[in-house]
Amino acid sequence: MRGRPAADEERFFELLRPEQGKLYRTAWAILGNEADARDALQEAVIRAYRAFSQLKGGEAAFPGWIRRILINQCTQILRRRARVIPVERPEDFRPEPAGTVPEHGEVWEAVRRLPEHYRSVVVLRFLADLSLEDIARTLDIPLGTVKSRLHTALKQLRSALTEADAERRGAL
Amino acid sequence: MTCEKVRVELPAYLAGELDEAASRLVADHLAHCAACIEEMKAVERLQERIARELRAWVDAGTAPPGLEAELRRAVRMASAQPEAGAEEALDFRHGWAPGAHRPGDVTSLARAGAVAGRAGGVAAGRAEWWRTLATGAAAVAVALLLVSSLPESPALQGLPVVGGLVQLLQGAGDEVPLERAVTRDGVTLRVHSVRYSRHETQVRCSLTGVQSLDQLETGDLAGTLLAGTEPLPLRKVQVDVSSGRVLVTFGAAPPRVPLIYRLGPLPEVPGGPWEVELGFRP
Repeated sequence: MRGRPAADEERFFELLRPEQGKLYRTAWAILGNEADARDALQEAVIRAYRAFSQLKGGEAAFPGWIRRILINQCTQILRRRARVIPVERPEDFRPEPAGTVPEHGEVWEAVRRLPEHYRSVVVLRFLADLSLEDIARTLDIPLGTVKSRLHTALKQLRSALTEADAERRGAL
Repeated sequence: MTCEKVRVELPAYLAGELDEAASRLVADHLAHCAACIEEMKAVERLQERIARELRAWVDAGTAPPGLEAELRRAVRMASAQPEAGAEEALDFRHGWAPGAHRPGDVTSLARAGAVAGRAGGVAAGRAEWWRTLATGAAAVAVALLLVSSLPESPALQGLPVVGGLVQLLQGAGDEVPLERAVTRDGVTLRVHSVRYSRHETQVRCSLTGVQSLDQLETGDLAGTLLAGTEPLPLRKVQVDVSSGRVLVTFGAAPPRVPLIYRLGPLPEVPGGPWEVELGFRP
């Protein structure tokens, strides 16, 4: 990687620029906080840059390729996190700086309000497109637990979205 | 198959992720249960909506200010360093894993007159042995202090909640008595106190009921003490083999940062060589 021409770096970042916001949100959604999202994105970008010359399928393949690298990076962080025991809830000590939470969509708002163990299953399923077995491996939990968490999460989301829909209709 | 069980399986069924036998069971149930058919349609619609709207939310994302500059800096810094994996990784669980080389027991060490050793100053096999012992002792002590909830690891089922260190780290001060203990498989681990200063974090603890280090299952407990996301460097482990008292010294933890105990081997213990001292008298 040393000695790579500056033109390569420029081209890499030109391709990355339109994807940055999407990648950042993807990481934020999967990992649930800004600090981890930035770490994951940074590591994914370094990996992608190192492998840039091996990108197959031309530049059109870049968005999907780097998204997959990012999701792999996020799932690695989640695997490590599955083996972490926080002493206290980290968010109690690292309050989210104002303005750093991405603005909300209705579904995203409902998803992010889910308890962490439900939220991660939903995001890995519907945003990272992982199979239930891959989610089980990533979170280091049994497949049956993934299924029951997804089932409960969907029930909660349905209820939250029905409520939000009713409120919206009432406001019209 | 009951309706509730079928409903738990519906997302996997809809995605074709069930094996043939399970899929047939769900299909058989659906064939005669109109309520579950309705539920399946509702789940399908809900899943489509979640996937579609989450994707739209992601696609509408814009990068926070300064992100590109941050990423460029990271890429340039990484360019100046060897790729990950080039450095030597220390696997502290080696020697503790079932079937691998195991250290002898504490008492035989004492008889051998093992008094002090430096990881950097002994033969390679012995250095690894010291590291393993020290890491095991440190990890056990820290695990005792820091386990506040249990992961879904069968190996750790049964460990009680023993509290946290965070409040102790909010100001430097003298030794803070803790006196928390846990017993498992006949081995009692007691954390007596924690001392936090601007220079180091010291944990005083003791192990009783240890006949052999094999009993400790330290392969399960080996871990890293993290302050926030940064591992604290392990500096020294002092073990009094006759009384089982242990003094573990880590680097200083910054105030108001959560301490986290990460299970698993220690691939990235920072800092320089650290010291193991057997025969220490607390």
